[in-house]
Amino acid sequence: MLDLKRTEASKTEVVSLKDLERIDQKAKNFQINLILIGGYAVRAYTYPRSWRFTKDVDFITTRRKLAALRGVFELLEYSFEKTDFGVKGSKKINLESIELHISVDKVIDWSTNLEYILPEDIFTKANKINIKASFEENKDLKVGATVAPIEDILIMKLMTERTRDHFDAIAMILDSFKRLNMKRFWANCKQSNLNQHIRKRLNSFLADIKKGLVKKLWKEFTGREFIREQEITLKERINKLLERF
Amino acid sequence: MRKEMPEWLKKYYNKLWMRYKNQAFTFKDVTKELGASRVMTIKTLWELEQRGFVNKERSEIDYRARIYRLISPEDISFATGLYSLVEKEKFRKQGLIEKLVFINNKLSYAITGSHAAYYYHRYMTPARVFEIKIEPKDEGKWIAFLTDEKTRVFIGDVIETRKINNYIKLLHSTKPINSIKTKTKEGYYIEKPEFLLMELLKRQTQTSIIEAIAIILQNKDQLRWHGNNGIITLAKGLGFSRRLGFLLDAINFESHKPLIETKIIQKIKKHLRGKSDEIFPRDEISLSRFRELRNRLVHQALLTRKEIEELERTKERFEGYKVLSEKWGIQTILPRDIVRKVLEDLGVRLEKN
Repeated sequence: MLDLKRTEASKTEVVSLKDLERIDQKAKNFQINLILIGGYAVRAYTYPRSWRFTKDVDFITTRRKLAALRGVFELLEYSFEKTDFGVKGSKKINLESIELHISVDKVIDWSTNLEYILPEDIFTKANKINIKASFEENKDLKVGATVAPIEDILIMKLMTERTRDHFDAIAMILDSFKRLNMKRFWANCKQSNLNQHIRKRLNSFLADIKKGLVKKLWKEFTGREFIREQEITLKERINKLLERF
Repeated sequence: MRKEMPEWLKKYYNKLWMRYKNQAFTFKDVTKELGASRVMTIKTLWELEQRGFVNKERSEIDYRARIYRLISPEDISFATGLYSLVEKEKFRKQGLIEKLVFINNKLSYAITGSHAAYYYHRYMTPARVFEIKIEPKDEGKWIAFLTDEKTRVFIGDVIETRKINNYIKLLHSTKPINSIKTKTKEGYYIEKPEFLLMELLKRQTQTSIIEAIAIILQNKDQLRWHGNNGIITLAKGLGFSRRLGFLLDAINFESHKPLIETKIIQKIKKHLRGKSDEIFPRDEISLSRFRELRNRLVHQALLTRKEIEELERTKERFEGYKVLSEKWGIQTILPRDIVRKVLEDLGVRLEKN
């Protein structure tokens, strides 16, 4: 009775993380520019708290490398399908599935139809970061992956209208603000013509703090309290970001 | 996993129990009652909390203050009795799920919220807080049983800010647990999907709506739609028919095919009359953003043409289901992209927007 097998979700996490590592390695072997974005990137930038739970893997790349990626998908037993944004794949593990998305050249947001054009330096500025598993059973598992710079991940999260992305953005500002290059952040916003949009979003966060909405957002996604110190820190950091606009 | 108490702690526990029983007390009360120093009071409360022998809640009068309630000696005996059935080492290695399997029918419970939803949809990975519906009378037993080095248990708000593996939120069930629970093949109990859907529709946050859509899509042929404890009747009883009908219609609308049988939707619609002043979802975050948007658009003279266009676009996002809103007699502010993303992610082919 006590020797229960690991839950399916935790097993899926192991596969997902190992695939992520293998894709990262293969991309390097094939000299493909491929870096991590999405939920796992948020987890990388919110370590050690690692709020973000995910099993899906999101990457970005450049168009000319698209053909070579098919082999990587097949090798890892993912389906391969071309889409408007790039390619996507899926792999079934019993009842669970892992979705793999690769956006090419730009990231399109569904909720606003806005586009984030990948800056030229995004691949050279990417960081090799260890991503840790979130399930207790997998606590010793960590894999290294090349993660897009925090500035770009933050812009991708701030450009959308989805509350989950806003939570991710707030968590990153709280946990990895020191990594953030504000000059690069605003330059990249401007390059995609998103600077006014992002400025408004940051201002709306400040208003949300006042209205107590950030507290609610935090509770919705962590189930926990957003404490006063976090509120003060978030406010200060957003103001710092806005000062550099 | 420490459940046994050293003599000094037993003495303090007994003294506090004699004075307060199940009544709430504060940090200051403990200092006064025990005649202890501040450091000793912190240590006493910490040691009791770690063992699950005291419950910590937020004060209703002062948001920042904490109030404590002792777990009764009977409930502590229940938990220590269970622990004595298993070798210490084995218990130390047990995760939360193993503990729930172990408790089996000794206490009634059903996992609810995002973790239960994930069991059915396998889509959006849930956050770390486990929500468990219990009978109110068992509260103390649960706190004493589940609390360990890796787990903290709360009634209502999770007020722990330290990092710990498992946060458990106990919820009082309004229905008898036995009627809402079902046993998983792994051996623990979760809320039946029909009741869980009602819980998610009640919460009506963006997350809970996404979870509800995902459960419906992944289990539409296994869900119990009709009959006494079927979704249609449950929704009618709780006054959720309009939001349920709207959501099912939105799924069919986006997929351009009757993924959900039309007769189910017709049956929900049949007993509805007129309009309601309900706004769906009544998620405070979406609602606040929508109201702000509307207010800004009222004062157009202060805005540039570009700003007006942008605001109109955002407003359209919230009001993407105008026809369905009319049909169900509610004002909906659910963005279409929310529904479309779940459908697309779960393999439903969508027409271009």
